[in-house]
Amino acid sequence: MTEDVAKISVNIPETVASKSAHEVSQAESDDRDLVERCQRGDLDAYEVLVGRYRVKVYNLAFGILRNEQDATDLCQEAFVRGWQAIHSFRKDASFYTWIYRITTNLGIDFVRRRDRRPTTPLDEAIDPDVDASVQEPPSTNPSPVDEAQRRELREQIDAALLQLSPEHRVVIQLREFDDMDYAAIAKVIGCSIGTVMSRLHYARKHLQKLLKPVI
Amino acid sequence: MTHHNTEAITGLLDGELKGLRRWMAQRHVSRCTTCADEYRRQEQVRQLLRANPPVSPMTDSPEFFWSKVKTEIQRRGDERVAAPTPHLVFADWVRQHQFAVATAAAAFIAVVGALWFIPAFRGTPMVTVTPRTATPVARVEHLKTLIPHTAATAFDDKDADVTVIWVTGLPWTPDMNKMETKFANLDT
Repeated sequence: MTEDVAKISVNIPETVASKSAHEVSQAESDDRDLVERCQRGDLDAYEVLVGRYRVKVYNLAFGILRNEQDATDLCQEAFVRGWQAIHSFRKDASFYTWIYRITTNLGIDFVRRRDRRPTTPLDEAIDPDVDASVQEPPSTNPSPVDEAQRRELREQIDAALLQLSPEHRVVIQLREFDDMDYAAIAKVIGCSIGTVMSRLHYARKHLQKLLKPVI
Repeated sequence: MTHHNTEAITGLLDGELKGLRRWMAQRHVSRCTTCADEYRRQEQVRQLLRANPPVSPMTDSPEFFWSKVKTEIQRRGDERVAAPTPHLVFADWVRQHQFAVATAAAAFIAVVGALWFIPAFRGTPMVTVTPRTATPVARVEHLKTLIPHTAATAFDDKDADVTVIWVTGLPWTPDMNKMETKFANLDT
């Protein structure tokens, strides 16, 4: 181990800032009421839950599959499975984590099945029209050159993410884009926090190599 | 931390380490060039990803999406499947609730310790003594010894209602130094 006498300056963040406990407990309490109604067969209550988590589940599905149509199908299947399994939902769990777990398991299975089939080249998979409709932050008005560079960078990142294993892609998606803490990620993917740390480390290390030209 | 623990670097980068683990990882990264470089590289990747999230808005409207889900649910009818409930593994659960677990353990030990010093909680003796009931006994009126040189004396105590027979010279042995004195209480 190389130990330098002079201290090295690194930007170390404070511990994870979570949402206010009140906010979280309020949302979970609402979810629990809705889940109880669903367990009694109330489909209207499930519609509220679907509306609440539709976009998040879709984003997770897209993060795993990197394909819009597949992500929409996966999202739909996850909610259908959720309804079919709602009787087994334990009230001490969080609906959000639970539906994420269903989506993740379905997503990983889907990717494994898809990887056995011939794949569409990345250039064909990216639809430029859809990408152009992406909502940009309203703070600046990027020039066409900036916009082109940004799109190119995003394509490179997409291509790099597509090369990760589904397990690594899931942890990256949950951590970097959904901003979940390690405990929540561990619950979603059903492993220990140590495994989450390890997967995140190797996923980022792999991305370092793949994205070396742009870093 | 005395070695290059890469997972700890990841935990530090994500702000997930707490207490002593955080302090040790922070101290190590601030002194070790290898780990500091690794930390910076991972941070760059992290920043790049966060600055460029995958954006692909869902094209289905909420109503259309729900109609598809509802139709599929109704098509499948009462078919039921099982989905595992997400939970932490036991070791992680203990780590997440370490202060609660430590407090509960300390409280338990304190309660047990306090009860130990209170005589009322030590419990009653396990052995109970019951008075012996008097059993009918045979009283020796006459004793005849068959072995020569044996002397037996019977002592009879009427108050205690016992008879003691004091026997000497039994068994017979030529070595008088080894002569034993035998005591027999026929009432016991």
